[in-house]
Amino acid sequence: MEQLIYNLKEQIIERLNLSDTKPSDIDSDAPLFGDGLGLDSIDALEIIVLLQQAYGIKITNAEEGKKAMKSVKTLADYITEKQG
Amino acid sequence: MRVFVAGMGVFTAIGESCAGNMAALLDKKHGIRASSCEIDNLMGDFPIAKIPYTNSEIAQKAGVPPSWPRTALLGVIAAQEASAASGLDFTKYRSGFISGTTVGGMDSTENFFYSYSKNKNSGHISQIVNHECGRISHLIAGNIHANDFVTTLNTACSSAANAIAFATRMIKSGRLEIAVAGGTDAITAFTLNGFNTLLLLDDELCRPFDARRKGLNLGEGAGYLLLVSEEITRQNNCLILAEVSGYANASDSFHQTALSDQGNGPYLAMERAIKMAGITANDIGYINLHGTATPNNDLSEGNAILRLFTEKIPAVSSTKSYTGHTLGASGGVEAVYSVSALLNQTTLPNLRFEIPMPGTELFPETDARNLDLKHVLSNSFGFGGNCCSLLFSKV
Amino acid sequence: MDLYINGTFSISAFESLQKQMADNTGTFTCIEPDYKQIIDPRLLRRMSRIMRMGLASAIKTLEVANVQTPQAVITATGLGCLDDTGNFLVKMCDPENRMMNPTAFIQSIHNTVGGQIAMHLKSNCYNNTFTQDVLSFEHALLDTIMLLEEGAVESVLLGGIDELTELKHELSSRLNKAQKESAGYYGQGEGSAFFSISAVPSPVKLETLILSQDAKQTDITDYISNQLDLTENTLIFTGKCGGNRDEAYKHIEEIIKPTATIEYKKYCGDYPTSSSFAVWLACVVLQQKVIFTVMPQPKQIIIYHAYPYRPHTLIHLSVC
Repeated sequence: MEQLIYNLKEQIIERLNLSDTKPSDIDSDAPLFGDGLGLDSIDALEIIVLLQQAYGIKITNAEEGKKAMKSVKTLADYITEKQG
Repeated sequence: MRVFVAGMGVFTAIGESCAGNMAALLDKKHGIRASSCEIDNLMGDFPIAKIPYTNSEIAQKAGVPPSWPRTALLGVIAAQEASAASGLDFTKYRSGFISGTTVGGMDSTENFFYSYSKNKNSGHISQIVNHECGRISHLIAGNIHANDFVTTLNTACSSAANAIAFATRMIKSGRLEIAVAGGTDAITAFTLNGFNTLLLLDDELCRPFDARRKGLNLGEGAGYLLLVSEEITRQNNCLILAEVSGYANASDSFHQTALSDQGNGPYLAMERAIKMAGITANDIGYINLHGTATPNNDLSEGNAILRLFTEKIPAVSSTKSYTGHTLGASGGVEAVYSVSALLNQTTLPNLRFEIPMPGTELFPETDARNLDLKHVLSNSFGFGGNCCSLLFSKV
Repeated sequence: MDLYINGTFSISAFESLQKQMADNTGTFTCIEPDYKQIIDPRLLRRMSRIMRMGLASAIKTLEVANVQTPQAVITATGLGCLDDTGNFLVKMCDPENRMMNPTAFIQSIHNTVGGQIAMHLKSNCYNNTFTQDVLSFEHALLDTIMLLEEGAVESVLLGGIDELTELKHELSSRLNKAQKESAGYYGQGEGSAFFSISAVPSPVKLETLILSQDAKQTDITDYISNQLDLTENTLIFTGKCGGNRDEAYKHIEEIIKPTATIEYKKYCGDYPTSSSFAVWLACVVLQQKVIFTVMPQPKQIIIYHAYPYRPHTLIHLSVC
């Protein structure tokens, strides 16, 4: 799980061009959107596509997507659950 | 100076001429098919409205080289139909070609990159010479002899509508006497994959303005109007199909790929076009919607219509349920359909509509219905919040 | 209607009149400002170079012109957002690593910069994007003039933008080789130049734009021979780019012979909307911010742009 969380942080940083951020700067439990990292709807799209391309997971339900993308931790849980 | 429509041409998955397209529209025959075998390199399987001819077949029909990008091939068929109708000799007048496209020669560029990505020294460099959007217009204009002024607009999905508005202004200002204006776009792996990454594609047939709509189906095609100044139509006794009585462009300024929920850009584009024609919202008989069938577009457009047409809501429908979303061409294709609706005094059906969007209670036309139409609107909205409405009136 | 350039800003390879050649890669690369001083850093994160160059030039131009919100934003680009287009395309065609990202697709569209400017201004303005190869900027300028003449708007923000990427450089070089480009080519360039234009009097007046309509370029030669007084402290900017393409200028050389002439692409390189750089350079020269010794105090500048097999164009500016 720790490894997955670290990988996710690295992938998010690269994908979203968070060039001044290091994986250790991201709190695994902090909200990704709004106050936390300050991400927006296009970033959400990037993360959904990232899940598809890197983990083969398709988010089709918007509500489910919102829950999964709360924080890096919830995202990692979601991936683990789906990959089961 | 008034500007009239004196000819039209259209080429889509539902037909290769105005007559063919109109017959399919009235018969409710759409052109959307499964994509899997058609396009290389697509992740996922989505229905698309692809024209069922190869590049060579189209090139042969048009009498042009098969090496032209598909966007130019589709465009030249429609442009030839539009220019032939009036019998005017373009070389005798100040004649222009003004076209919208978003992908330009991308289909050919993709073929280059399939080789190039394997080996940097491979790929035929000639495959990218027509990549630029402007090259497409240059090729088509030469073929129809409308060479005095050639330009291209790329404002995403409103490109062709903006091209028709700009061409009308070129004639009004006296800079041109004749213009063939509209747009063309071919389906490419680039756009299909692009819309796929945006999660905007429906994996089933699209349902514009329906509560259960999930996204759009991509299509391809071209549509052009032959626009002629009042003076030249009089001198030549041209058959006049309609008048371009209004047009307007407005920015929605909300989001790169989404429209504001209240539809500020769409509202302003329609309102300004109506105002220019010197009529009121009550005079509009039919609106050919942008109606892509994405949750966001249809809600925004629907809300704009409800806000603008407070007394009487005109008949509305989205013909993208037949042709798919032809992107940069859609404003041209749908301008042809709007003028056809006016000429035939009929609304055009919106396929697969059953349940209105919650909160809007908008019921698109589900059948062709005879109506006394004097003024029709055609809406086109693009990424970057670029909104354009065209208004055609019976003469 | 008399029209004036009320403000301009450009991001280009131009440093000084002394530096007039490509860098060691044979290209002209823009000298870029610290964008964080101009654009909200949160927005910068996702912006490609062409977007940064375009939005920053637009913001600075409006600042100089003291215009809050123009009623129209018109952009011109020959090749559009090449970096994002190339990015998406390369990933799409690579069977090993098909990690296409939505942002690259969204921002690959030619009107990305124009849309971004309108969004930044929170304006419901007219917004259009022209892309006609080497004529893109002139066509956007034509739209600007028409809108103002129609009385549809009072002020227009106009810009020309093109970016040079490694991929573009590589492929264009291959293409030039295939098309037997001769020696002497100045090199590929890039740039962004924006203008605020209105009927409000300012030092730089936009006299004329001519787009020739025939192969002999009669409109332009007539204008130069019959309507211009070339003895009146005139400077001519030609868009020569070195090499065999410059044959397109041959017929004009007799007519303009005694007039002081500058080849502006020696400062910015060759790119589709380079005439927007020429207009920017003309504005600063007419306002004596940059001085060419061949004509230290020009009263008017003629920008003449010609490529083989393309209509030629002329832009005439004067100082009031």
